[in-house]
Amino acid sequence: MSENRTKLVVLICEEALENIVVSELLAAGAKGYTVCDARGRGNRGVRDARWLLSSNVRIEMLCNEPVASHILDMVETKYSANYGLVIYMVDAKVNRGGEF
Amino acid sequence: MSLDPVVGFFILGLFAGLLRSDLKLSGGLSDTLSIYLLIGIGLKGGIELANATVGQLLLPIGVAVLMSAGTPLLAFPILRRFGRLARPDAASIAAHYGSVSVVTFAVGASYLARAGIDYEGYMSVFLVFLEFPALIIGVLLAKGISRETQWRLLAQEVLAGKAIVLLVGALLIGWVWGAEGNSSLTKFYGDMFKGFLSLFLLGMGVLTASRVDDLRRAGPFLVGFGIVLPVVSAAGGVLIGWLMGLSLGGTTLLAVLYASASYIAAPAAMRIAIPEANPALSLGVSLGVTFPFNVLVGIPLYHEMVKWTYRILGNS
Repeated sequence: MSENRTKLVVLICEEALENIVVSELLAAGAKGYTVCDARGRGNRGVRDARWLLSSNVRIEMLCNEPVASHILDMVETKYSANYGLVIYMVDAKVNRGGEF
Repeated sequence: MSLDPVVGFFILGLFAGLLRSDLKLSGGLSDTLSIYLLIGIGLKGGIELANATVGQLLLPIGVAVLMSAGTPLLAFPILRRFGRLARPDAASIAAHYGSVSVVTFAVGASYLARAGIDYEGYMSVFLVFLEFPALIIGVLLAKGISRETQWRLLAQEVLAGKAIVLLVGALLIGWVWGAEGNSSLTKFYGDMFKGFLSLFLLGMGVLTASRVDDLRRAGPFLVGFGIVLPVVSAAGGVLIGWLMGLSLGGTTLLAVLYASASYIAAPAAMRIAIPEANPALSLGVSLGVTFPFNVLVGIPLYHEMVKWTYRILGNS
């Protein structure tokens, strides 16, 4: 795998979705992921990472392009109707690109 | 002053929130306080359970759980028909109202303690058994027995959630160690309970104030619903408590439990099981209307209802 085909997929979503979605990300071909708390504002209002339901998480994963596209489609079709989320991918320069 | 001073802290938090003060409890502190409250309630129940036999409890628990199904089954058609809410929203709100609020229970217990009224120690066992049946009823109302429901994940969230784990665990610890636990732990979990409860209520006040915007979206019907349904459920609780022969304090707490709406366990479970439902509606009405109503007006009102019932009907 050449390094320029590695993609960084970023999913920002409500915390409630994390437990549901991570196993599906792995099943879709991601080899791992990183999660951190996030806050900000979107079309569903301010999510200020306060206690109770209003917190967001940011899930990132490096994967090859077919897997990245598959994850984007899967998350959009399955979850975007009912959960507040943003998902996108960008090119990533990775030295050990073959690992992802 | 008839209001409990811990309620004063709730009002303070509410004002601070409405004034957009920078006061807020961090997530870590809120989590710590809720762990403390759950253990405190469970431990107290467990220590008193050491004096009861399991056989004594089976009937009251069975009856209380069975009757708790009444609240969501009553709420759902009202929300659908008069509130014109979509099926998932109505089911989710019904589940919130069928489930119970630990903090409302704690304020009720504190109210009784202040008035010097005793209640059955096993009331906190009810908390454990009243929390989750309504959540399952809510999911069934929304979807029936559907294969797309993530039952396994839902069971994990509800049964292994910290509320059930800590309540059951502390009940067991209190029950096993009984009097010994009583002497060594009550300084921390008993005497300081009100202080920690006041801190938690301060945070709840700020949080409730942040739900005011949701109320505007929810509209007058839901606001009225959030006040009338708890009173009706409490009346049911009063009758059931009286029929079961509970003490005046025990019946008051049962009425408080039936009147309370969940705002921690239910929102998390409903987000997984009924993702189509709008969480702003259910949380807005349970936290924005019913919780403050119960804490400020409901608990003294239910206590009066119980006194009135026992005076007219006599002890069963």
